[in-house]
Amino acid sequence: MATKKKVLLKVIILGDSGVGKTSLMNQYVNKKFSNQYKATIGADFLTKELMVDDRVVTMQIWDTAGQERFQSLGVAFYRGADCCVLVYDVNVAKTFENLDSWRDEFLIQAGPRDPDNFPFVVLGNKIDLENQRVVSQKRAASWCQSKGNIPYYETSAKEAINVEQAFQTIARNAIKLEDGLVFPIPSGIQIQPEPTPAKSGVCC
Amino acid sequence: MEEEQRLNIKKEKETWIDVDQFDVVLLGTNFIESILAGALARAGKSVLHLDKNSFYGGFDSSFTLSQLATLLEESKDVKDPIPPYLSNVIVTDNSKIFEEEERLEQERKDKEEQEEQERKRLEQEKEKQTEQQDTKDDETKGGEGEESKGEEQQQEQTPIVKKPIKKTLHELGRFFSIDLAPTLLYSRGSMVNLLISSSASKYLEFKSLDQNYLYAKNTLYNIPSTKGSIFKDSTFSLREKRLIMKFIETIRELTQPTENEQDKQEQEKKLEELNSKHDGNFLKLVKSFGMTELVESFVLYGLSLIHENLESISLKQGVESVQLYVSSLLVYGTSPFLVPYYGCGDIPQAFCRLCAVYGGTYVLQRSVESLSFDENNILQGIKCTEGQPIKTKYFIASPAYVKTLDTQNTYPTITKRYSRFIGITNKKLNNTLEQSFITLPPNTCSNKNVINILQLDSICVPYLKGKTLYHFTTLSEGESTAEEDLKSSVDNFFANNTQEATSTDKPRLEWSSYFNFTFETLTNDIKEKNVLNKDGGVLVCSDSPIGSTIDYASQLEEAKKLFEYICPNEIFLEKVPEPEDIVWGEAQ
Repeated sequence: MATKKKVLLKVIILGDSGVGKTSLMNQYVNKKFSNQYKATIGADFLTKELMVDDRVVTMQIWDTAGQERFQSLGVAFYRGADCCVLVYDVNVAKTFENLDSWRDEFLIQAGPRDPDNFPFVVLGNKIDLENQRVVSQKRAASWCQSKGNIPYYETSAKEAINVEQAFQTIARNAIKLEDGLVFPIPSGIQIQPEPTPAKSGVCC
Repeated sequence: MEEEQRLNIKKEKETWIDVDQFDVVLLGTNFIESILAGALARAGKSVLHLDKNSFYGGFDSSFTLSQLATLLEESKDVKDPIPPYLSNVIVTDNSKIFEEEERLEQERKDKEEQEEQERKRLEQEKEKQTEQQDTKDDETKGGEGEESKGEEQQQEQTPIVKKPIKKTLHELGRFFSIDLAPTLLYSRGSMVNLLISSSASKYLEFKSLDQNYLYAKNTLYNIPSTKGSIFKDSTFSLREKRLIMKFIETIRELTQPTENEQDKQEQEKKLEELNSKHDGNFLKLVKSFGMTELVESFVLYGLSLIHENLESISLKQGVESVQLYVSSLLVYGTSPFLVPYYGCGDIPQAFCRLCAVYGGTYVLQRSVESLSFDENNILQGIKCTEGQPIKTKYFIASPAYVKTLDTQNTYPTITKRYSRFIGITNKKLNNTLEQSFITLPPNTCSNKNVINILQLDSICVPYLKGKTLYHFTTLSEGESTAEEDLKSSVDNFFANNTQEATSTDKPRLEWSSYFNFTFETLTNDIKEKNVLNKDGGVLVCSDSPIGSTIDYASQLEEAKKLFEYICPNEIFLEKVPEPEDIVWGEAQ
């Protein structure tokens, strides 16, 4: 079915605090990196238009806004996600070990209709600090394989390594999900400053 | 021993918050606390926002069917005064009975179909056989074997069609977002305006209701939304229609926005005249039109949605309420009302996210154990349930929390009790549009107070064909239970079993629940003075999500007042710059 409609994809980024979620978004969308760690103030979501197989796609990438620190992301954050990006820091073992619980959290809160085939993408970030590395590529790749062949990228938000490629895959897999839904949940009304009246001839 | 203790403390400290000083600590993520948290963080305050529950919103939460069922089950024996606390809970789950009935019915149909097919097959075979016997009469050897082979082939050709397994209501229950306290938003109301002006609207999607109805004299009356539909309407007489138009015209004259000073003065003069003529009472103004009973109901319950203490509503309040209704028509749809697409529970979450984006710290499943004051009764800080002491100037929570935490001071509040019914049926009410709001004036179904009914479909309709969600809400007085307050109106609209449903053509209740909840609110008087009494820094906010006006206007006002107390001269929820306008730190 050839759909010509505008595609809007909601992508959410999960992972422990400090693994570089905001930096990855920011590197991808704004091509910028800041070494200063600010526990995500002012980061909300970023949008980027890109081409995927001749289709113009608007990707909305949602940051956790720091609410992940105490596992306090509300269900509203997860609504309508088309792809979930799981990020860990290759230099901190705990952040890798927590991927399981982030994946579970997503599946419980977002409740995707087909949990076995929901598109996840895993990013092992901060590979530029190579000599401090504690999680091997093999270990990460085998985890991804065990969870239904989740695509895996090793990235550096700082050096812009693999960021572009990772987000291309994220977009492609998100579209696949959107296209595959027999009954997509229709999008609701967005309220705006001056809505155009539904009909002319307003009463009274 | 000591070592163990030290280990325990260390373990506990791992869950501690990395900062131990905040400008403001809020406990509970009800509507008012959440808006306030968003506003405070937006204005640059450091905010710690806690909630004892594992979910956001307290009374202002939305649940899937199974989450709601769990909450209702748990609240049967827990006497925890932490929002949302429910009482007199009754749950009736008939879905399994109906699903079994449907399954048996389907089996019967399948069996009939199979028998029919079998009969046809036998007939065909018989024909074939006679044909075969006609043509191959002399052939006797090997015939039998071939025949049985043919049968096998035929069986292979028509394999039993695997029907998709029909999912149960509970399996599909996540396609419902069920509010504990559903609230409608006027398209031009203060809540919608705030969502737009604060940019929090980007976190939300809405649906517009299709139609509003008034239920009177055993009939559902359309509440018309345009001049045209009033005149096309066949339920009102021409005289009644003129009266309605006259009433609306009067309101319009009083409230039409104008830049012209002269017109403004004219309006004020008119309002004053009416005020002195009717003792400033809205009900008296309405009565002065000499309407029929039906039209009066239509105006009082259909157009104005302030239904509590109708006798004492001021003329100004009533006029503004009708004006709000009329100006909200045809903005997003024919009804003046919007509801959040995934339930009202997303509104507090939108403001909490706004707060988080501006640096607010969120910890769910964490409460406050105690407050500490200095010798002058000034708040010094709080202690979290994990034992962490946190310094703060302000502590804000709903009355139930504050009363248990601060026993030195008194916080006078009034309680408001509501009766609720939530039901899921197999279809919507006859002759109604899918998303509808129905008002039942007092004494229509032996009800003392107005009952508001909200009819909604599921989030993903194709999965739940026909399944419809109902909310009944009414103010409850005295000690009557939700069932006592609402049963006769529920029975008026719905059937409890298949037999009744077939004979009456009423929607059938597949799952339903009655419950009460009690809100503590601050009286107007207290709002002006005592809440903000405490120079000590402990502030109380109401837990009432259902104001007397349907919309969230009164809660917004309260949030704003508390904000202004903490941040005088600051802008309340200033618009957030677009992401493109945010300047990011330079690369190093």
